[in-house]
Amino acid sequence: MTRLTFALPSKGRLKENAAAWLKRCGFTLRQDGGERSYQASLNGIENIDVQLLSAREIAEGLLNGRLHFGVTGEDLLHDLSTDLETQAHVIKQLGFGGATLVVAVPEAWFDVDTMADLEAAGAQYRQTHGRRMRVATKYLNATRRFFASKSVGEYRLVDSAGATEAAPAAGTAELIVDITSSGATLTANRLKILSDGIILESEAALTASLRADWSDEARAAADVFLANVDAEAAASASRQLIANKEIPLETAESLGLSYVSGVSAIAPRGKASEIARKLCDHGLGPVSVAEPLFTFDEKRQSFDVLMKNL
Amino acid sequence: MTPVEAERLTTTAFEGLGGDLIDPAVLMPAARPLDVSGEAVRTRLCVFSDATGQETALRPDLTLPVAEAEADRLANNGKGEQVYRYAARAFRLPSSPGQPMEFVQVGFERFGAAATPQADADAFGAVVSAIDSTGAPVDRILLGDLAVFDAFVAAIEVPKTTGDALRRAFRLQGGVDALLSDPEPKAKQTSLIQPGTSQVDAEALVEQMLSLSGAPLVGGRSVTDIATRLREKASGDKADGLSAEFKALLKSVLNVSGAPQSCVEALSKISKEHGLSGVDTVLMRLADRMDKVSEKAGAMELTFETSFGRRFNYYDGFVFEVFAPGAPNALPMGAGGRYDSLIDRLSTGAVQATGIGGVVRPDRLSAALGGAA
Repeated sequence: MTRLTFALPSKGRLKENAAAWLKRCGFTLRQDGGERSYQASLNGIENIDVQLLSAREIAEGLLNGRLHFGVTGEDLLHDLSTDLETQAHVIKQLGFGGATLVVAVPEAWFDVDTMADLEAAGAQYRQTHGRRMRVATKYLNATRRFFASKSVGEYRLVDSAGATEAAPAAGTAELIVDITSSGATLTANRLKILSDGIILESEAALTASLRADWSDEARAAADVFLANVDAEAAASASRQLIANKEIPLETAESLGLSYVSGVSAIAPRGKASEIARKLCDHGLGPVSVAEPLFTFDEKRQSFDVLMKNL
Repeated sequence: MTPVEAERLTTTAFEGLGGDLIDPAVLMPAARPLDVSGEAVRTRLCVFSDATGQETALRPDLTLPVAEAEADRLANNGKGEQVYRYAARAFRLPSSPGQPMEFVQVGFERFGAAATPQADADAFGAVVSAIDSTGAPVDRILLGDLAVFDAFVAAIEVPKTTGDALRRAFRLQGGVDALLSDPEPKAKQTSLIQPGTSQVDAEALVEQMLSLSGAPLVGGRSVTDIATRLREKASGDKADGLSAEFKALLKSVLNVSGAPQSCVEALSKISKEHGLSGVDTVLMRLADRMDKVSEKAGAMELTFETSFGRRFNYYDGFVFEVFAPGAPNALPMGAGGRYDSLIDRLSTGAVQATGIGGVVRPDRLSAALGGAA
């Protein structure tokens, strides 16, 4: 029997954010040998093996089936996959680790604003220089696919090991494809993003491998884990209203409240205050608004979708 | 029949073409195939890198190293026609599971001979007879001509830059469709320069913008490059210069496929309907070639497709592929084509020679004959 293997980023903001999210889901990340250790476990759930790895290793492990679950960047999943749809399934974007994969060219290329301009500039470059213009990137596959989709053929990829954005200034490439969050590094290096040169908007995502060995044991652990993940997500999107008197059905209906039982109801987060005021107007006050930790549902949304994809 | 036997029989079959058997270098700088064929081939290329990051590729076919050998010979005052034959290994990453990474190609490359329909048909005939010498069954033969689309583009009235973009797009999978279906007019940004600005003035403007913005001129393109492109953009670019009529015309040209003679007729009809002049020469050559190819093909079924034949960037004329029954379109037993500009490109313009070649795959011939039995 294969136990469920779950990999988390081993360091930095990604790790901190992932640990904070797990905590909200009811699981505490424990590093067995202290801060620097790569051995870890999750408190609050049985039968899950936790590994701390680099984001790239996690993406690779998910794609080749060595891991069941992982938290990693969608950019890496897209770049490293040969056929993402049959390899991995993004269960949930986690709202952190946001970055955009973009095509950026020197600001001084006043004639190049779109991928079509780049295509023409690339053809011209080949004609005048006798070789193809070079694109420095760590994202070889994503770049190749995007350039093909934009019918840009006259280029060469240069695998960038270090600071990709410095490649044009260093003379090792003409342009770059790289991750940016604010665009500040690109601007500082006098590079501009092409208007249709956004390859991917990426976030950290809880992702399941479709190639892993999904034993009954692994499935059972996934079911328990995802129930909490869904319950946390549902809870954070809603508020619990507690009135002083029983909420009549017609009042609940008129206010669009779907889950009502006695004095208590669940409302969408953004509308909770407004509905609480209206309940008071109906003479049901005082009404308190509470933040639920979890909202469990008999439907197991994420688990069912995952099982369907396997 | 074993692959080894198929190799022996087909090697003998090509002997009649003359020339010597050669086995050029297995390794080449990875930049070579990538520069010639583009990044699209990287997914098929067996590449390794040394400690300094220098990338080396195993030859993906024999055409490239053989053409390099010919370019060297010509650069060293070699003269006249030359034929090379080979029965040698090539290396490609599999495009589908189960395909071998290492395989033998038996074939020939012929340089410097007049690029006539007869020469095309002879190359085709050599491949067909080599296949026939093994007794392997032929199911279908696909024919193309990269000159046809280019000729139609040249014949319609569009800005030069648009024509160039179309010709480049034709060599990319789905490229022309993407270009033609581009939802135009895009919010066209105000041009930095007026149409008709001279090159001198445009370059002065670029210099001025550089000093005003303080943007460093990095990335290997010169002020001249940027100014030239700004002028081209000002005078109409890409599919912007294409009327709906021309778009429809090019699409119908690309859609022509079927029996060779009916395709020639269909293409002539398109040309007449739109009152084009200038494609007749290409179509006459096509008709002539198809007649001669049909003679060589005998009873085998021939299919011509305008859109066929752009996967390997060095082909620039007649192309063909021969399939066994049940073989998917990506896996021909034999193939070949014309690449008259390859020597020029490999030598960066130092020497020129026409080129045409053909090749068979003993492993696929053997499989078509039921394998080792």
